[in-house]
Amino acid sequence: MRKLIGVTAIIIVIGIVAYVVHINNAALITEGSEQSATSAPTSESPLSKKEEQVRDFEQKYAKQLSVAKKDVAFSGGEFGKAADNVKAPGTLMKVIDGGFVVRTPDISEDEIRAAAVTERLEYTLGNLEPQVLDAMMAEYLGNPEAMLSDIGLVKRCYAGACGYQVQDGPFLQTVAQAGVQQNDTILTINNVSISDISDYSSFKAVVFSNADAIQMSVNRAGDVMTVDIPVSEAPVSGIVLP
Amino acid sequence: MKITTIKGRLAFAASLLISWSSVLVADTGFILLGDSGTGKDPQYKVAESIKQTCAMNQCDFALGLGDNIYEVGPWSTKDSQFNTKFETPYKDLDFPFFMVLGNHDNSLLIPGDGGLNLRGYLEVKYTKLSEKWKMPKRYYSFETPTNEALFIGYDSNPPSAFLPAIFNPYFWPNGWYMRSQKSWIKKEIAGNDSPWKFAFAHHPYITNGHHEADTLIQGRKPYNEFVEDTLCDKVDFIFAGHEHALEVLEPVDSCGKTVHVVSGAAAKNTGRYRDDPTHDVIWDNYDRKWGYFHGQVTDTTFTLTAYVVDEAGDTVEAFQKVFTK
Repeated sequence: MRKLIGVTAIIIVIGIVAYVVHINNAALITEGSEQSATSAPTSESPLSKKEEQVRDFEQKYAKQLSVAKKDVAFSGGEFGKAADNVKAPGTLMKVIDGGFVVRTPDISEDEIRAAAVTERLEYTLGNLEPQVLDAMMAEYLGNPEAMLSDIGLVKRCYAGACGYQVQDGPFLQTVAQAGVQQNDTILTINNVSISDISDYSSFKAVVFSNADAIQMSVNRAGDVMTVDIPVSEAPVSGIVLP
Repeated sequence: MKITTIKGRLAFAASLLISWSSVLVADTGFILLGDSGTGKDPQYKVAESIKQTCAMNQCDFALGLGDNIYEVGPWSTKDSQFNTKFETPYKDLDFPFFMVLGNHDNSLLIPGDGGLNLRGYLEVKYTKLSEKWKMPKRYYSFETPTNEALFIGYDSNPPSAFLPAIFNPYFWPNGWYMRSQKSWIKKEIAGNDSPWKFAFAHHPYITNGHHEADTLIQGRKPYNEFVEDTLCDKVDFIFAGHEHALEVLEPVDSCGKTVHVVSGAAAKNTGRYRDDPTHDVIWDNYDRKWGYFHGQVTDTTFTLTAYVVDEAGDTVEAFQKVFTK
C-alpha cells in the first residue's frame, strides 16, 4: 500500500512539472511569435564576391552552358518521366551502436566515382576543346598522375620505352568501342612518344595537334597497332549505369 | 497549488496522462546543427552549450546538416581538419552524428562553389575512421531504435551548386545521380511505417534568408522539382542548414503539410534576410547569434526547441513548440 502511495505521489509530481513546463512553453511560443513579427529584412546587399566569380565562370564557359541548359538532365523538367528510366538501387541494412537501423543504397562510393569519372571522360572526349580539358584537369589540381590513376591507366616501361597500360576502368569503358582492349599499353599519342610528353601543357599540345581524332599506337601482347579515338562526338551516348 | 477552474483541472489531468504515457512509450532526443565545421571559437561555444542541453535533455544523436569542413572541404580521409573541425570540438558529446554533405564540402574552384561532388567521397570514407561521424553514403536513411521516426539524409548539392558540374553529366542537377537518389528515397519512404518522417540535407527548400535569392546557373527549378516530387507532403519536416540563422517556417502550398526548419548557425552567424521575405514564420532568429535545435520525438508528438548562444557563450532557450500527429 505504501509503495502504491509512493508511485501515485511520483506520478502527481511529474504531472505538475509537465503542466508547468507546458504553460512555460506556451509563453515561449508567444514570445517567439512576437519576435518574428518584429524582425525586419536587411537592406539590399551588393553583389557578393561569390556571385561575381560565378558570373565569371558563366562567361568563360558560356558555350558549354548554353548547350547544357537545353538538356532536361541539366535544367530540370519532366522529372517524373525521366525518373521512370532509373531503377532505384537496392538497399543494404545495418544496425549500428545505439540500435539505429541504417539503410543505404546498394552503390559503393567506388562505383559512384567510376561512373562519374567515366561520364566526365566521355563528355571531355565528346566536346574536346582546350578549356574543357582544362576544366577536367582542374579537378585534379593539375596533377596528371592522379587523373591517369582515376581513369585507369598505369605507367609501364619495357626496355627503356614507357607507356600507359589500360586497366579495367573509365578509360577502357569510354574507348573500348574504338578498339582499345584491357592490358593494351599506349606507346604514342598523335605520333608523339609517351616518354616525350613531360607535363600537362605538352600533353595538351599533343592532343590538339590532330583535329578529328586522337591517334594512339598501342602494344597488345607484343604487337604494335594503331587506334583512332574519335573526338567529334561522344564515343558512347546516353547515361552510364553503374 | 490549487486548481479551481474546470479548464485547469482538465489540463492537469491531460498532463498527468501525458506524463504517464511517456513512461510507457519510448522516445528519442536529438540535436540539429548545421554549418558547423570552422574549428573556431563559436563552434566550441555551441558545442559546450549542446553539452549542457544534453545534460538535461535526452540526446541520442545529432544531425549534421552539411558544411562540415569549412572552407573547401577535406583533402584526404586523414586530413587533420577532421580533428580540428569535428572530433575535437565535439569530443565531450558522446553520441553519433549523422552527417550530410554541404556545398563547402564539395568545393572545386571557389570555397563553397559545390562544383566538385567527388570530394564528398572523402567524408563518406571518413565514417570508417571515426567513432562519431556517420555518413554511410551520400544519401541514406535510419530509423530510431523504437521506430518512432524515419530520418532520410539526402544530397542536395548537385542541383544547388553555385558551379554545377557542367563537365560531368553524371552529377548534373537532374542527371543520373539525382534521379537514382530520387528513386531510392521514394522507395524508402513508401516502404516505411514509422509515424514520423524527417528529411535532412544542407540546402533548404524554402528560407526567408538571402540564399533563397541566390542566382544559380541552373536556376532553382531542378532542386525544387526534386524536393516537391520526392519529399514534399511525404515527410513531416525538412531540416536544412546553409543559411546561418535559425528558422521554423510554416508549410507552403507547393510542399503540402511539410514543415521547414533551418539550423545553420552552429559556427557562423552571418545569416541575413533576403529582400521581401515571403514565407510565414513560426519562429526565427536572424540576430547574429549562434544556435541549434533540440528535437524530442514520441509516437505522437515532436517537440522542437531552439537554443540561441551569444558571444559570451550564454544560452537562451528561445523557442519551443510541440507538434502532434
